[in-house]
Amino acid sequence: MSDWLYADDLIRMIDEIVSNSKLKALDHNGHTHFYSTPSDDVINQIAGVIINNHARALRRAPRLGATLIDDTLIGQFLSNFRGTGSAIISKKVTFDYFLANPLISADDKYYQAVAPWKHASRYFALASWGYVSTTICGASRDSVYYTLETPYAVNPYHPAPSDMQPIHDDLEALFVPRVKPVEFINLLPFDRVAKGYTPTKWERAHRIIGLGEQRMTLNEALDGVNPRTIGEGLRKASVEVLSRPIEVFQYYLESRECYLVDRHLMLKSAATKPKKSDIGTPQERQIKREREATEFGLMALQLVKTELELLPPADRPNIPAFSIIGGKVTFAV
Amino acid sequence: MLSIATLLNDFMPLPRIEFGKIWSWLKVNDKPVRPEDRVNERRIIWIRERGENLPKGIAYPFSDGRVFYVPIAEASGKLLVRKAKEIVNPHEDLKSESSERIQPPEKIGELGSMAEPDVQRCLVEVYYGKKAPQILTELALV
Repeated sequence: MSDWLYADDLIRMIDEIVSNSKLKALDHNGHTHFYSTPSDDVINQIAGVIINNHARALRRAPRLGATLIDDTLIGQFLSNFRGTGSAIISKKVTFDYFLANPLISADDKYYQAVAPWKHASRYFALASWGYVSTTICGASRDSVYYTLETPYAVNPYHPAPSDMQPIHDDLEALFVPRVKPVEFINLLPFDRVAKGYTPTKWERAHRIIGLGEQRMTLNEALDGVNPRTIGEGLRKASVEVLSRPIEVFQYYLESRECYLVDRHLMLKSAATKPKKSDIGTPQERQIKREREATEFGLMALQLVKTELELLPPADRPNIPAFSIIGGKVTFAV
Repeated sequence: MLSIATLLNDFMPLPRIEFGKIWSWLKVNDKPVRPEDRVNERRIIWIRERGENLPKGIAYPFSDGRVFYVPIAEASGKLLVRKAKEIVNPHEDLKSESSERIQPPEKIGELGSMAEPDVQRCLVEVYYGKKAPQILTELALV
């Protein structure tokens, strides 16, 4: 009798581990994080360095105080599975096991390798509550994330896909209804995402999740950058498009404040150590925002003044002469 | 016989990283017995990101020196044969019989023209083996 196992055998083991409540197979701190690799089509459109979404998720999740499937007992089990008995592989990636498995034909190797992960991912989505965040930018519509994690995160009663068995009643009872509700996905209220879901179609929910992720990652990328630098960059980048970039900058500052408040709440609610927040009192934030906007305005005015001085007097537009002295604008005498 | 659950309980004091290793010598006695059904020994190169659990596609070298890349649908494992493309200046590791069967995506390099129907048919046969006739019918490639 061969010691090589099929995906069904691993799925059975996953079920046993999950059903044992003492093992806390999918335990997390109220914040789960999903990831998915971009599709080839998306990758081909990216200019410059491409960082794999799994690698990005491994970096982002600890910063967000989130738990990845890799961090759970089930994830550890699958990541480290090398076989049983005499059928053991030296590498430790699930696909290597099925590639080496002589019982499985070439066309079945991929399917066998993905099946246990799909099964575990469905449980992980069902086990989610509290906050959910993602690193799924550019994910394929064929991905495990899109086909399983999105719909099961939104609706625990989501019908099983045609290529998967429904979850056994005893196991389903562990997750459905959820112990606690999912409250936010990528810092967006759950209801907003749920509106984009039906049991047969959830593209809109996916798009909202994707926009939420984009908002988060852009804020993360700009974290720590001097607002003045951002203001200047905004002006430079938009000079031919926006007539009033200062309004855009103002909106940027407001939206950033919203993001920081939301992120602060998220980190506070997760059972990890909250990071030091940039948030002060509302009055402090208002003063800071006005100062930043004023600084931007002064820069813009100085620029206008310089431009005027570069023009021959006859060509100058009808703008009253002014001076900027000590950070204040005065009419030139 | 000890149940899996009992064994797991006994192992729980171990660090989680050790958990997978335990399975390496854990004998599972009640697995089904199936006949060996390995049918396809033709050489497929699996294209996979380093450290990822699943390949993102396959590369297949033809006897005339051309190498084609075909992505795989992640969740279903289906070969996206309509997206098969020829690899421009294929890397030696994608052509050589002796190279590793798993190669990183960087080795694909530039992709050229779409695979013509004859090539698509051949790729389906290579990947699906005995299931190929059914897949070819589904894809209207017969």
